[in-house]
Amino acid sequence: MIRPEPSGRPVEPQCPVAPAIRVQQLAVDIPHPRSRYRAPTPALHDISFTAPRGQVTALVGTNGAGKTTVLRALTGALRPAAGSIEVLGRTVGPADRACPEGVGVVPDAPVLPEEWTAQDVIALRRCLGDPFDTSLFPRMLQASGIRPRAMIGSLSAGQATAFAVAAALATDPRLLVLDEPLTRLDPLARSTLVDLLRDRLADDDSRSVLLSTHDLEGMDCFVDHLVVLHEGRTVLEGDVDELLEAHVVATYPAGAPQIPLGARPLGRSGAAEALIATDDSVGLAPGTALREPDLPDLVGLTLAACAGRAIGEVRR
Amino acid sequence: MSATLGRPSTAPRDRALRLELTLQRPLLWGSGVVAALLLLAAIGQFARLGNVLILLAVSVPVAAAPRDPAREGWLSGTLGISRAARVRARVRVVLFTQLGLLLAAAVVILVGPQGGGVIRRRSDGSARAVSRCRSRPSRTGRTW
Repeated sequence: MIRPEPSGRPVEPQCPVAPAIRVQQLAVDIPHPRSRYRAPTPALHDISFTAPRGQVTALVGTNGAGKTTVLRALTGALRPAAGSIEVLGRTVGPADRACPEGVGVVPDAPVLPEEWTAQDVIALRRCLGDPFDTSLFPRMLQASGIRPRAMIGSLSAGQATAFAVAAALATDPRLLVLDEPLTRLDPLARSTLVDLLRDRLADDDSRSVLLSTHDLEGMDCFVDHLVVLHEGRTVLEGDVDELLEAHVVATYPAGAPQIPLGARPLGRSGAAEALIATDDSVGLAPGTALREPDLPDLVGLTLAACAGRAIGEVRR
Repeated sequence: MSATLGRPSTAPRDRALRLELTLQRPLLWGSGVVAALLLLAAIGQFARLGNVLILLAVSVPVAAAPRDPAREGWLSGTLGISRAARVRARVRVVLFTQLGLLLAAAVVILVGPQGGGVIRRRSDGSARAVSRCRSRPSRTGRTW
């Protein structure tokens, strides 16, 4: 059954079993920054992933892999050239389809006017008629050491991130999308944010988090689902525990005949390590050591393999 | 959440318009103040500067254009406002601002010193509009 919104526009019913985010074969072209008549730049070619409900999904990739572009497309800020996006069971992408209610977004840089203060944010939310916890927001700002009357433009990069996180959490979102939130935070603020998100997930199983990040050090216990992007394509996706079980790190001695293209060299010794499927670990050359990977290994070696393959193709 | 804000209307069109009015507040206030000052000057017979308001109306689309489209796209995306609703709201705000400025310009021109100036008749019957303000008087014909 389709319910009409106050505007008269029909709303798709939200399926309770649908994943938080489902992206299929997404392609996005970024318009030329100066002229609309010049050819756009293809930023994403083939992105497909699913972010399960009640879990933390990490979107990882090298610089320019398309993480921020994916997140912008998820919020409806960018028009997909191909593919489909579903957020909380609702299609996003066409010009008149916005991100559904219940999604909190923390962009990589402040998007509100620089002269605004916390009061302006509350006033805007009141004006828009959004559910906004006016007691939680100032409390979170105070905990981050941000004065209520401080202008956004006067905040440091870390404080601006804390401000955006507080504004997003005050809307009590069912899906929280964070674009590289950990990069600009100090270690204390970082652990505080991770604990806060973990507590929120523990409180309610239906809440989900999608975060893009470079740094997965110490995130093994926090991230449930992993999506690795490389040059606008999904190269690895899956449940973290399953991916860790399905792969091993093979350390090849110097001069080993089987070193795969894209293996990461270990210093100047000539040895190299690569991520291989557990099933392929049988029959390796003598002297090859195997160990279980951790999350940074999984991401780092996958990206090294992608980069190595690309370099190999260029050399060929 | 006892301190949660109320929800006046969640219609996408209304939300986009409210966001646009909030973001364009400096432009709207600035245009309003300039229009009010020029109206006062015209009513007080000090100056007739309707052309300033016309030029201001012409420049409204440029003044209202996003300085950083990517940033504003993010902002409306984070607030759950679609691209189409945002564009429609901006067009509406720009058109109504222009309309307001042009109406103000019309009033300024109509009630300004030249239009409402003193007409002095010469001995030969010709008329001459004489303003009581800084605007230069212009020669007019008999039928004026």
